[in-house]
Amino acid sequence: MKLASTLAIIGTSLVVWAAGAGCAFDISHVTQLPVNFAPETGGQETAFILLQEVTVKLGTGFPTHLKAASRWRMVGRTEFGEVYTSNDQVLSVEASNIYEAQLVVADRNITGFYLPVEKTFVRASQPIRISIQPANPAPAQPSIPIPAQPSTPTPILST
Amino acid sequence: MKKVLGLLALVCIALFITGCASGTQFSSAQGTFPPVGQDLGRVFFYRTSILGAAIQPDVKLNGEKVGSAKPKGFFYVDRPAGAYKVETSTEVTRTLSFTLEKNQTRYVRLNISMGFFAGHVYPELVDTATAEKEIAACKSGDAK
Repeated sequence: MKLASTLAIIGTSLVVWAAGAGCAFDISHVTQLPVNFAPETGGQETAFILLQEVTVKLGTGFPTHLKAASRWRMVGRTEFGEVYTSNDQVLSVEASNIYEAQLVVADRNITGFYLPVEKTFVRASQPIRISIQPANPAPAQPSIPIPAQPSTPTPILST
Repeated sequence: MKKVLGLLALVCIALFITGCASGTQFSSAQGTFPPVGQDLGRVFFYRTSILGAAIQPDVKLNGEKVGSAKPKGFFYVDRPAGAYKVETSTEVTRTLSFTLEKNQTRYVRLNISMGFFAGHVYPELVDTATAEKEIAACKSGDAK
């Protein structure tokens, strides 16, 4: 009897451990779809200002937030819509891992995100209609301009 | 018993202090950073949290170790424009993918979260305004 209860405790512990480990180790994934991305080569570049804050859900438990009054500049096209990037916020898609993302919009509906490193598309749980104001596209800018110096080796600050 | 507890507390404090970054504070070092090379961008890594101070995993950039996640520490690397993946491993591996443009500065915060046996450190891309406030009090840490 004592052996049985000990085994039951060990078994339960293992189940709890496995469940816990499952949660801790692999919370969620983003489903990435193959996509054809055609970069915007200029001439037809468009931009808009998002009038309201928007929350885009992906079914991962980690929604992506878009800031009100953020300015978005078109950088390309996919079969899921036009692809936009912004200097006003960092855009990422989060699950167990985090991916930098760009906004995909079709007919004023957010359809999902383009992941520029993975070169894939992540679909929004449902399309979201957005209120926008057309804007003149601003040139792409780095977040902080750094004075350039030729032939500097890659420095690493050490202690 | 009280003596043992006191000793334990001292050991914990000593471990905690030695585990934190101890170099120059970012706000003091900011003007001394060398300019970034032509065709390169700069990536700052920093960790604001002292929670889980004993957990200091290696930070890998495209598979190469570039530093470690020291509490209250920062370090940076300059790299050519392109696609990058940051990786930190404790009991799990967490990744962050992002692009780097020429002359661009990006900030990666090394966050800590609860784990099953040990805390998890996960990298997150942070906007410049937020990062500059957060990194100001961090000290130059362990790079490579």
